[in-house]
Amino acid sequence: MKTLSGSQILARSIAGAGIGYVFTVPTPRLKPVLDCLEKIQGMTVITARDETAAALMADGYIRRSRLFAAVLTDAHGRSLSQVSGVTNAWADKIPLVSVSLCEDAAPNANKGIARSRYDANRVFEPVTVWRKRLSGLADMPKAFVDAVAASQGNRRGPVHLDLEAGLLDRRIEEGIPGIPPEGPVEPQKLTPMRLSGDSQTVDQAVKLLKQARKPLIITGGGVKASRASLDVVRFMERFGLPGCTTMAGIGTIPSDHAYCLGGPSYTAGEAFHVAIKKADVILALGCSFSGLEGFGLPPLWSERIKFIHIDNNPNQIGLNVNPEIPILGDVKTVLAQMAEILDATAFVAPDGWAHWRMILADLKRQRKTRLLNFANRPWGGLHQGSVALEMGKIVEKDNLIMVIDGGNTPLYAAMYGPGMSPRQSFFPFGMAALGGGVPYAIGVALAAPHKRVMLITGDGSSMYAISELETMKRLNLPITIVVNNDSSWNMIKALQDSLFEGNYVGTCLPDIDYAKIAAGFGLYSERVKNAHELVPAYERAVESGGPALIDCVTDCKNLPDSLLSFAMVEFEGAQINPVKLAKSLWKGRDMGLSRALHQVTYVRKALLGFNPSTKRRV
Amino acid sequence: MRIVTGGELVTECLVDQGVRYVFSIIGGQMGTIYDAIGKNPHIDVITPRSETSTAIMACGYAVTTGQPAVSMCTVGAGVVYEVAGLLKAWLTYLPVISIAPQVQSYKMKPNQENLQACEQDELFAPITKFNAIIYHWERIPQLIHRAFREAATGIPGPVHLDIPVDVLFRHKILTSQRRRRMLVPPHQSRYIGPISGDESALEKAGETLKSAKNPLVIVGQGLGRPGRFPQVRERLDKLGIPFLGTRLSGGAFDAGDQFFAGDALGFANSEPGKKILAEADCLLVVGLDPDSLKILDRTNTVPVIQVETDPAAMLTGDQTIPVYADPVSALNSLESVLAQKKGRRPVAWKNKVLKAGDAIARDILQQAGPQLETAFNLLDGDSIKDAIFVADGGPASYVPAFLKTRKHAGLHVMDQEDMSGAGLPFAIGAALGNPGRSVVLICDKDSLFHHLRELQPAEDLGVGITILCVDEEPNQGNVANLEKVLEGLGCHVHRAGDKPGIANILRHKGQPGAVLV
Ligand SMILES: Cc1ncc(C[n+]2csc(CCOP(=O)(O)OP(=O)(O)O)c2C)c(N)n1
Ligand SMILES: [Mg+2]
Repeated sequence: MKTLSGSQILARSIAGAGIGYVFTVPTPRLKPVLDCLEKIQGMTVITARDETAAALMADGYIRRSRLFAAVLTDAHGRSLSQVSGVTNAWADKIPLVSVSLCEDAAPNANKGIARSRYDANRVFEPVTVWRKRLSGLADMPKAFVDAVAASQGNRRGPVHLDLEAGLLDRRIEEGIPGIPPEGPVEPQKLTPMRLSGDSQTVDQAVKLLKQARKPLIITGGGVKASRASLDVVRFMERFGLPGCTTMAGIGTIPSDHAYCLGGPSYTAGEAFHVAIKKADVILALGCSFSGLEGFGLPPLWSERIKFIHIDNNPNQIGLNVNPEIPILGDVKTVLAQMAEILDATAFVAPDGWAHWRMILADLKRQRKTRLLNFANRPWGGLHQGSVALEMGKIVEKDNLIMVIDGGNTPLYAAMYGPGMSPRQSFFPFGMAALGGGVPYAIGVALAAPHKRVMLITGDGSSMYAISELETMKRLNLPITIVVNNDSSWNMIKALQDSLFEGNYVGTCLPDIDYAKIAAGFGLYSERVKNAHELVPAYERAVESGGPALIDCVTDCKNLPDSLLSFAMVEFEGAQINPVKLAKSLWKGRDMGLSRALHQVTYVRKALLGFNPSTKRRV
Repeated sequence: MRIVTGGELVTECLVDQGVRYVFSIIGGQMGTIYDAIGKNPHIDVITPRSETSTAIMACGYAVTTGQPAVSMCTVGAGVVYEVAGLLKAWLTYLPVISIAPQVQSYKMKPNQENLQACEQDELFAPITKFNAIIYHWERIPQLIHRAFREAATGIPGPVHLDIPVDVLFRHKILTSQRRRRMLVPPHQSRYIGPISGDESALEKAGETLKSAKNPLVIVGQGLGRPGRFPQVRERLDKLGIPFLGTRLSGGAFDAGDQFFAGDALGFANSEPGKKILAEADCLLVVGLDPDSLKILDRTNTVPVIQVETDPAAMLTGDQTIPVYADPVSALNSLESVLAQKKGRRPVAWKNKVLKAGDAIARDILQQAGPQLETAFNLLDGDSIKDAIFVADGGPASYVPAFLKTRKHAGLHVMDQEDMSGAGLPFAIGAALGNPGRSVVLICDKDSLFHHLRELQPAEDLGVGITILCVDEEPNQGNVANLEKVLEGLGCHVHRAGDKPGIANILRHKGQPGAVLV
């Protein structure tokens, strides 16, 4: 009888589970597996330089393609290098299939001499939704099918498989039931769960919504998973509801839509702050009320809000806010149910809603003007806002995909960037982890073969996966990297400015020429110091054909005003020394009057909610 | 009397424990720690370009200085990169202290969809010796002391502490009285002196060794590198028994050690080596590790004297004579027993072992290939006795055989099964700890690529490491031109053909230099 090697079984198991993309870093042990994988029709194997990046690439690929993908690495450090990518996927609920080899010997939790017997599977426990350690070849095909299924449970997220390395050297008979045939692979799509809401509860929700005087829609990452973005927008338009998104929900409502408050979450500034202070009913769609949004709780959110929370994960409901009306169901399906009831009763939005919407729209308009004027001041150099603006215009014009990375940099991109569609902009918001930009851009580019990708990254973040510029070059991916080079880990430097009297420790970077670094990898690159040079530089970059990098020299004294709101969430419960704070603010005059005034305006309008001009006008 | 934040308290404890460098990338929650470090002249932050490197640099620093090293990464986002690096400390028995902030103590466990957070204590639990969350300001010193104690005692290894942001930002009054009680020097917070050992066990071991004709010493992780047991080399010289090193210890010995026969794995995997192992009639194992375990598999059932600083590490079995003592004390005592033995010491066995060791090394070197040969020739032209070597990638299998017959200041071999490309950050950590020495990384293109980014901070810090790299033409697997890549990253690059003279580069302080062969 014909036998199959462990490597063959592994390759077939991956394909059999509907996984058509594998990201990896080859090692002698993995080489035979990769050879088998490459023989399978429809299977793509992507080689990264480092395992950390391989996992992030796979995550990026899934986010854009909505197809399953796996990351496959060797054991020990090569396995645990996946943890950062896996954790991003976990926090943002992406069903990544993470696979690594492990020691053959069973784990031993005693912390003696045999250090290599630590339990690798357990390391992944806090950041995955399902795990398994495999010690039999015959179990392998089913394990992969189970893994894929488990990644789409109530709590979507990554799964991890540890395969005993010795399995690859074993053989089993081909005729054993359950062994998938040799290709071709049929890539499995991520499918939304079309769960209807309980009709009585939906009725109550509609009733509550109708009674609202200042209603608000807020959308999270769950709207992406449900592919309900268009439905949300139609619902808003049809019934005249203002809406906004969480950070994770970026793009689910285009920020330039007339009914949208602006950029995601606090980046919308006073429009968002006023909305969450004044709204009486919030229709929350697929959002987790994470820490990034201040948990949907006071002090930033009003205590009086009545929430209608629609989510298809029961464990998400009541986790942070306690909704008046919890609905277990799929966003798209439940919205349709609600619309049907509203339509059936020929509901017409009360005038008050239009008034409320206009107040918010006015706040948005004022903020936008203020931000634009601010970025366009004669700074003498390149303002981060201008980088985001100019690049945003290109993204909009050419319908590019945008990947963002950094601290302040993503905030600028959100504040100054264009309106996006749900799968047009990528950042791992849940972990807000630096360094994913380059690998995500690669994964996203692979998932969107006919589009150019623009990565806007902070300088600090840009180096994490710098070796993967080789991967970009090797695969000749159409990616433009735009480095917001402010020579600092600026988001944190801002903190040292405001709390520690400018005691900069570990936040200053030297003047690094990222264009030179990129050129070393064979990328087209340029350094840019003025706003008017940006577009021509970009055009030359595109002309070069392959990947390119534009190093934009910006001033580290600039700060995105909305950072303050996020800091309030992050430092809740932390004692701030008032003397130091006062001294820091006094020292803060170094940043110049215009910057100080800009920030003070933000505090007044967004945090104190003092917006007299708006009220008068409406 | 002063008002002190949690972060200041952490910093003071670290300084008390002798920490010079904290390898770290900042996060907002660490604000008070960084503020305190900035104001303290005795401690500094070293910032690499990825958290994976913080722990690896700490490994390189700790192992080449014997000083404690701290890896500090930010909540969630940072620690998930750190995990893989800290695994290196775990697998190679290094007392790296990992500290991370956490989100608010009142909502960190279980996870509540907090920004950036995950249950990072769980993440570290399988790969650390000790792991704790510091919930209270008052307990910071006690738990930091405990972390250092756990890391360094017994079989060393990494430890991890989580400190919630509210604890790090808590302001409390520290009176001088309270300060004296809470902040104590290392010798009062853990036992630092020798472990003299149990006399009867040592006596028994001594007698066994005395009656052996063909004794062999295998020095493993018990060596502990410079800091812990610096006198081990001297003791071995006095003891007069041929000895083997393992991957973890072998690099500490060189041509100056007259009884050093070479690498344990080399013996276990070669015919002449196996023959010697079969002839050995008594083994003295100093700190068991994976390589010495492999040797034990290859020897006959002979008495094994096992010296450990942790009684829990003892092998069980009739043939084992466990000696719970530190290596210096144990070797001292054994030496004095041997000294009573009458007559001249037999040199035949020693010569036989050393000859086998030489033959094994020669065999290994024959397979090294022309590129590495060029590299070795370059090294031979110059004095390398003050250089610390780090070997990674393909060359890692050959460098020990080459250096065995030269004098150098230490070799550190990156285990290719542990992780990939740790060599570069490790070498940078080593260079920071040894400003007076040259650090040479011998590697290949593939391994170098993993953490290439760290060349930038190396240049910024003025760490002049030298990279001797086996290059490969750009090909389908890696399209980059290494010379250009390294130059882009601010590295001086020479080709072997330029006859660069390693000495010149070794002397080239303050900027990373590379020689491609
Ligand atoms: C992996 C990781 N490490 C550290 C942090 C903490 N952190 C948040 S923002 C920031 C600075 C980012 O600097 P840069 O990428 O240059 O972006 P900028 O804020 O300057 O725009 C840091 C260190 C993080 N979020 N993730
Ligand atoms: Mg920056």
